[in-house]
Parts: sequence; C-alpha cells; structure tokens
Amino acid sequence: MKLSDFTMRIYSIAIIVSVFLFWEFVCRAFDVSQFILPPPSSIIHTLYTRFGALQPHLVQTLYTTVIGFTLSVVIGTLIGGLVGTSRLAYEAIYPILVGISSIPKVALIPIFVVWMGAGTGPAIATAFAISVFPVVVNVATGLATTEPELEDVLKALGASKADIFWNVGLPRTMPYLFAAMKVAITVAFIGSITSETIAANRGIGNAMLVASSNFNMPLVFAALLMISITGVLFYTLFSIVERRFTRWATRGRDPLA
Amino acid sequence: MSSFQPASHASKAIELDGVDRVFGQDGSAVHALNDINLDVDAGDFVALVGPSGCGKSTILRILAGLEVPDSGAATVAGREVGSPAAKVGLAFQNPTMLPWLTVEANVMLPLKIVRPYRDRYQRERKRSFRDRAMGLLESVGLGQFASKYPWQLSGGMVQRANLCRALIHEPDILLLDEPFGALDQFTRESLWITMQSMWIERRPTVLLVTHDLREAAFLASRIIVMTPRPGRILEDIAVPLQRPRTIEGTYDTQSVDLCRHMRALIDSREGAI
Ligand SMILES: Nc1ncnc2c1ncn2[C@@H]1O[C@H](COP(=O)(O)OP(=O)(O)OP(=O)(O)O)[C@@H](O)[C@H]1O
Ligand SMILES: [Mg+2]
Repeated sequence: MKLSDFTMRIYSIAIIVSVFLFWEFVCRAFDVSQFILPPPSSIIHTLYTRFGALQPHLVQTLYTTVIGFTLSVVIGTLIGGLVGTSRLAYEAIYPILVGISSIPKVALIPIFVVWMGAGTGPAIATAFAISVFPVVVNVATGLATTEPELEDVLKALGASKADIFWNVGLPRTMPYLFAAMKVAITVAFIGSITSETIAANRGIGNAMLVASSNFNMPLVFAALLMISITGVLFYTLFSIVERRFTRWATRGRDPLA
Repeated sequence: MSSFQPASHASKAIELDGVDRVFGQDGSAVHALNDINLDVDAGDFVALVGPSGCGKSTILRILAGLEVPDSGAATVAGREVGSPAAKVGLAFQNPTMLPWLTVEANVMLPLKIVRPYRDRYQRERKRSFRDRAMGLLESVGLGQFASKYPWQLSGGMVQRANLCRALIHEPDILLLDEPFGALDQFTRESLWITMQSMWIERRPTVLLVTHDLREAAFLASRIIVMTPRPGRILEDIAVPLQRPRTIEGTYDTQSVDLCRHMRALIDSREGAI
C-alpha cells in the first residue's frame, strides 16, 4: 500500500504530537519535578516568554555556524577536488585527514581559545573542523567514481582536463556535495554550540550553560528545543535545495517517497 | 579539410598502418586487432562489418583517441591521433548522455567544447546553436523531446540523440558505431535516407560500424569485412550501386547478391574457428 503525500504528512504529524502528549502525560501523572524533566507545555511557554532573551544568542550561534559551514564547503570542495583527481594527493592527504578527523573536536577547542581568544573565533573554528571532513570525503568520492564513459564523451571531442572537470566531474559530484552539505550544516551547528558551552559569553550554548547553572531547567530545555527546531530547518532547507539541483541523480523520483 | 596538413595526406582522411591491440596479459590476453591496414579517402563512406567481438569498436576508439594501439600508427586528417583531435564526430555504441543535461544541451555539447564554436557558445547557445540542435533533433523525429532529460527517453531515442550529437559540429570525419542498432526497421530505414542525403550534401568522411549487411550495402561506397580473434581485415569490397539509393533498391539482385557474398565470407570464417 502506498500512502498519499497528504495522508503520510497527517500520520507523521500525529506521531510527533503523540510523543509530546505522552511526555506531557508522564510529567503530570507522576508529578515529575520541573528540575528533572519539565513538561513540553512549560518548555514551550518558556520559549515563548523568553524568546527575546534567547534570540541574540541564537543569532550569534547562527552567525558562527554559517561562517564555519561556508568555510567547510569552500575549503572542503577544494581539498576534495584535489584528493578525488590526483592519486598522489589521495595517498598523501587522505591519511592525514583521517587522522585529524579521529580527534574529538572538543579536544581542539582549548587550542582554538589559546590561538583566537574565547568567543566567536573558536566557535567558527570548531564548526569548520567538525564539518569539513564529510565535504572532503563526499566530493572526493564523487570525482573518483565518475564513469569513464562520461569522460570519454568529452575526450573524444578533444576536451582539456579543465573542460572535463567543469562539464563532467563537477556536475557529477553535485549530488555528493549536497548530501555532504546536509550533514555538514547540522554538525557545524553542533560544533558552534559545543564551543560556546566551553569558551564564550554569547551564543545558545552559553545561554544553556548559564541557565543550567541557575537550575533554570525549563530555560535549558527551551534552548534545546530552539536548537532542534533550527537543526530541522537547516536540514529541510538543504534537502529542498538538493532536490532542486540533483533531480537527475534520482531520475526525477523523489528518494523519500 | 583544413589547410595546414602535409600535402601527402591531403586525400586520406583516415590511415591505419599495421595497428595491433591486445587487451589483458599472458593467459587471458585478447588479441583484439592484428595488423590492421586501412586507408579511407576524404569524403568516402566506408562500412565496417564483422561478427561481434572482432574489434570494430576498438578501431573507432583508437581513431577517436580513446584507446592507444600497442603498435602501428593511426592518423586522422593527417595528424597522429592522441594529439588534440581533428574535427571528429563520434557516436558511441552505448550512447552516453550526460544525465544532468537536457537532450538539447547534450546535443549541443560539442559546440561547447570544439573550436571555433566554443568561443561563441555563450552567445549562441540560445540562438543559432539551439536552432541547429533543434533542426537535427527534428530530422531524427525527436523535436518534441528536446527539453527532456536523457533518462526520460527510450533506448532508441537516446541513440538518435547520440547521432545528432555526433553531427552537430559538422565534423569532416564521422565515426559511427552501430548508430541505428537499437531502432526498429522502419525508423532505421528512414534514418538511412536522412543519413544518405546528409552525406551527399556535405560529403564528410564516414566510417560506419554495423551488423546490418543491408545497411552497409545501402549506405557505404566501400565495405570492410573483418574476422574475429585476432581482428583482421578479410576483404575490402567496393559497392557498385548507384546513388542516390532507395530502400526498394536494397531488395534488387545486385544489392542482395552483395549481402549474400558478405554473409558467406563471415560464415566461412565463423565455421573455421
Ligand atoms: N577495455 C577492454 N578491456 C579488455 N578487453 C577489451 C576491451 N575492449 C575491448 N576488448 C576486447 O576486444 C575485443 C574487440 O572488442 P570490440 O568492442 O572492438 O568488438 P566489436 O567488434 O565492436 O564487437 P560488437 O560488434 O559486439 O560491438 C573483444 O574480444 C573484447 O572482449
Ligand atoms: Mg562494438
């Protein structure tokens, strides 16, 4: 049986709502303390009333996330382009990249703070460090797996290496790049927030830290809710862009349907 | 033909001189081509026939600079292949369209790459270049599919678009690898007619690979029959039929006899293996 888009949407909304209703019910039925787990109603209420106070923090986090992410896409595409097209670069750069990516990024934050001082700098650097790897890997994979038949079409016309890159390699890699961007934007956001909880006096991460040290659990959860919603929005935005630009890769079929 | 070629090559569009090609090594080696010597005059229409696996596609790929011979020399328009290619149009046996481009954009691809068109591409791609692509697509019955993507077309349609792409930059030399293979008989025969008119009008050099002996007899002025493993030239036949030829004419005695002769040649070798 294949559900129509509309029915599907109704069902998914119903499921999400019932999860929150269950949560609300548990909190009330067992009289759970606000300090342990605030009910959704209280979280939403706090988010609504304290939005003015949280908003500048969110803006700061978005700012560092977007800059870190943009750096990742640009630099990651360049490195990925090199790794995916040159055997030497692949042999030399890949082990280094894997080595770097195995380091927990939290461990790097104190170093970034020493280099750049607390605040915006480390947040951008962490967002970048955490999100560049998926971009590099995906771009390199896209280029390295380009079908030789597609390249032959261009080679038979006497095309240069640059022609082949622009007309085959790059467009062929787009679906890979977009897939990477969906992941990269989400992890960049996490990177920024993590850095803010360690070394910053602004940003959602910092706001959460302050709220929890004041035992203001509804505010902590309100900040968490805000983060989740923003994460979902980011993901949705990039999914839409992805579907628009890479329709050919799924041959016009919606991969989620 | 362009003016800077050495005079000695002026009349030869394609020259293969003792070309050998072996795929793989030792035990599993396949001797695809063995001592192929073939000259094609400029403006000639030559068909290459022979059983599957006798190296026809390999010859075209060598001429297009996609494959390198192990020994021997291949020259196209007086220039060693591999150097920046002469103005060659190639229709692949397995038509590969770029899936992210519309059929029209795929057909225009050579204009984006090949000089002198590429310098005018940005200006003309929505004007004269597009008109040219549309004209070609219409001539093969694909006018309505120009803005579709290749994966929205049937196999035979992609093959026709593939042929348009080989023709669009009006190459002096056409390498066509079974360009009508996936088509039904009626479409195929109507494209023979289109092909013949185009050739009579512009007189490019054509090297056409085909399995269809009637097709070879209809289109070619000269037919090369090959044998497999190792791929060799068995016979070089001049086609005595007048032009323009008609589909009706392919059932005439002269044409039928020619096909029968080619069949017998290929049959005798198949039996000998
Ligand atoms: N890239 C390759 N690697 C290994 N073997 C190859 C390669 N290309 C071709 N061959 C071998 O060379 C021989 C000739 O192949 P080719 O494609 O030229 O045949 P063909 O005459 O075009 O056949 P068909 O009529 O079926 O298209 C075949 O035996 C094939 O297995
Ligand atoms: Mg072949």
